[in-house]
Amino acid sequence: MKINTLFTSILMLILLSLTLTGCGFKDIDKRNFVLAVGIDPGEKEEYVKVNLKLAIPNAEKTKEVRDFTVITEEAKTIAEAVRIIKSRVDKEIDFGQLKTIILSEELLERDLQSVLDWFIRRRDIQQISYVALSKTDTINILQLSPKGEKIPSNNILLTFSTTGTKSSYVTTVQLYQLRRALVEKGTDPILPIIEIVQEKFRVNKLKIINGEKENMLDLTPEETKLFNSIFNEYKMGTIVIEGKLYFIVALDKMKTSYKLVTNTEKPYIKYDIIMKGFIEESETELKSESLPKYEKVTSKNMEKRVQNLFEKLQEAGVDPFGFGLRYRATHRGSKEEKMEKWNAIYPDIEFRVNVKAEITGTGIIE
Amino acid sequence: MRRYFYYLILVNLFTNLVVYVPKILISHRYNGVLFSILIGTLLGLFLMYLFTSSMEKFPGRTQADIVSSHLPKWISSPYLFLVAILFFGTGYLILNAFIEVSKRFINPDMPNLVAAILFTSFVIAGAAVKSDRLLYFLEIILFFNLPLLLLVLVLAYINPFLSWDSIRTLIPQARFQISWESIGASCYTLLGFFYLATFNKFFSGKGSYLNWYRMILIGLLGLSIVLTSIVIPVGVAGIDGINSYVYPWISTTDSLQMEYGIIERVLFIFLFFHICISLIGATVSWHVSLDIFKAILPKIKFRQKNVTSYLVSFVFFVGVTTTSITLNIHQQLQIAKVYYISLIPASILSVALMYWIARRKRA
Repeated sequence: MKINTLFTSILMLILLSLTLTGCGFKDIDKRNFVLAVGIDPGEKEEYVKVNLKLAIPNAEKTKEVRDFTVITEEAKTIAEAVRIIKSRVDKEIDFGQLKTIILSEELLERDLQSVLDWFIRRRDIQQISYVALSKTDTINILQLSPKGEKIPSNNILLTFSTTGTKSSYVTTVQLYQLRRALVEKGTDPILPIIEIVQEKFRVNKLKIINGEKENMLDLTPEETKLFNSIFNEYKMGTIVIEGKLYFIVALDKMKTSYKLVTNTEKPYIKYDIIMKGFIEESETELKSESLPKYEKVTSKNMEKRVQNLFEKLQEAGVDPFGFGLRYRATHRGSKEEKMEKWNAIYPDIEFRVNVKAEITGTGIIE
Repeated sequence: MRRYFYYLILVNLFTNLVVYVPKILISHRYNGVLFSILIGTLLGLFLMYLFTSSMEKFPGRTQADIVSSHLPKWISSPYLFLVAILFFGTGYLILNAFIEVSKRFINPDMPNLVAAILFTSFVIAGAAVKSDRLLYFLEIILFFNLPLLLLVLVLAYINPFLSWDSIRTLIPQARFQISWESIGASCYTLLGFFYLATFNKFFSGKGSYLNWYRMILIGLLGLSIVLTSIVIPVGVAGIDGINSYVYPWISTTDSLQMEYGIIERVLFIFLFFHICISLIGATVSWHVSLDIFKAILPKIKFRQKNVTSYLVSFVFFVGVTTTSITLNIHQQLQIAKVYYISLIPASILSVALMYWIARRKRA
């Protein structure tokens, strides 16, 4: 019996030692970590240009460690380009830390789904990586390292994640959201546009893509802000009220809900917004007694703006809010039937926006 | 010892997240999967009630013991053989799914054969221990893994980017057409009570396994876990996009983010849960299978020692290692489908037989 136990424990130890392989036989100093990927259309037809931003590990912790290198390669597919890049570096390329994917705007003329295929299929690429669109060559974005950036590529990361700056102009799209919206019938994907202004990044525009009909729509920064505050129920946004009164409302509550009514003669979408905030800045003198009046002005103003935004989306034939998906969720029938019906309804649907604004105060002064 | 009965139910509930059940349910998302899930869980609950109430009549005895003492040998042996094969099948499917996943996500450089040898030996070693020790082991594993699962599920449900409209799209598709695969798959998740075949020997005869409110609780828990196993992947990857994922739950948890947590990629938390639940799930089912095989197979003596269970273990080992290198994941999925469909008549028959024996004893 005792010998038996001893034998078993030795066997277990031998078996356990098989698991001690470390990072798949390659140590951390034999790896090149990819921080960001930029995809451009290649110079040759149907080719893609892949830019990989690789970190150069540094043993010393100096004040600003910003060592990185960008490697560019062109091939028929992303996978092939990465294979060629692998032959150009000395270490194993590791995509486990990749959090930023920058796509060139020109790529949208091709099938975005086939471009994204490689990212979705790879097991080591995080589905929570941030995706953004660049108007210029993506290498410019990758090579920029703004002042104050301690770790390469950290600036973009903090811009998009909520751990860093919070801005209602920044739209955050993660890889899985992009893929879901792209494949899902009845909703259209959005992508933030990243630009370089004065040696810094700027993200305040949005592009809406309709995969099938190839409609695209660019939103202005103002529209992007409005879009973010209702699409993501973004709480920290501000609303500028112009007209006879001029003041800015800083939001701290934003709730949206909508109803799709299609059984009436004229189908409509009843969009309700409940918001709460206080006045952050004003050019005219404000009185706390007339808060109800300001609330009314805010509601009216907001209603009009949201209505205009929806109509603009409708005119362009894009549906980022997923009204079509809601139609699918509430009606019977096969997927194709429903989509056909919805595509006939959407161009003529009416939007009835209803905003209930509550202003809690005029800040700490009157 | 009654709490161990719930652990057995729980471990089977959770293994459904790590085997092929979500994949099968998702493939039927356009044709009435919700209705099939409801039928499957109700069937599982009904069988649970019948089986536990029959086993309660025989405190301290195993199923093999009861069946062979109440039925002629020519019926009892083939019947028990079949039951043991089905228990083997459960562990086999869990292990094979796990080997695939470990190859894909945990250590891609490890060859399939090495992984198979490693994990199968671990499970066989675990299945060979005494039944009570296995139960203690099970308790510890569940104690450490329940918080992880809860964390993943909470993160999944509070994710603001979960597409509830995609999930709601499942509802209008729920017409009254049923598929056997999805009924079998959702019924399987509640079949943990079958492990009592061996573990009933710890039942003292006082009290009972179930009463009506415990049954409702287990039923609700089972239904919510089965629904979760399809709702979360659909909400994260979209109803049209989810089908192309080979490992729906792993890809789903990779889409979850914990920005302020200790680890940002929730995938790794789920993988840890995956490893533990797979190994313990396979161990428990193989333990029961070995136990039944030991009871029905003739004793083979080698140097005055009974080596039957070693031989059976070796057959298990060869079964998993050879198929893990010869079959790909799509073929495994086909095997899983056949297994879940065959589980429906097999478990109904098995429970009916036990119920009949218990009735006859009372008469």
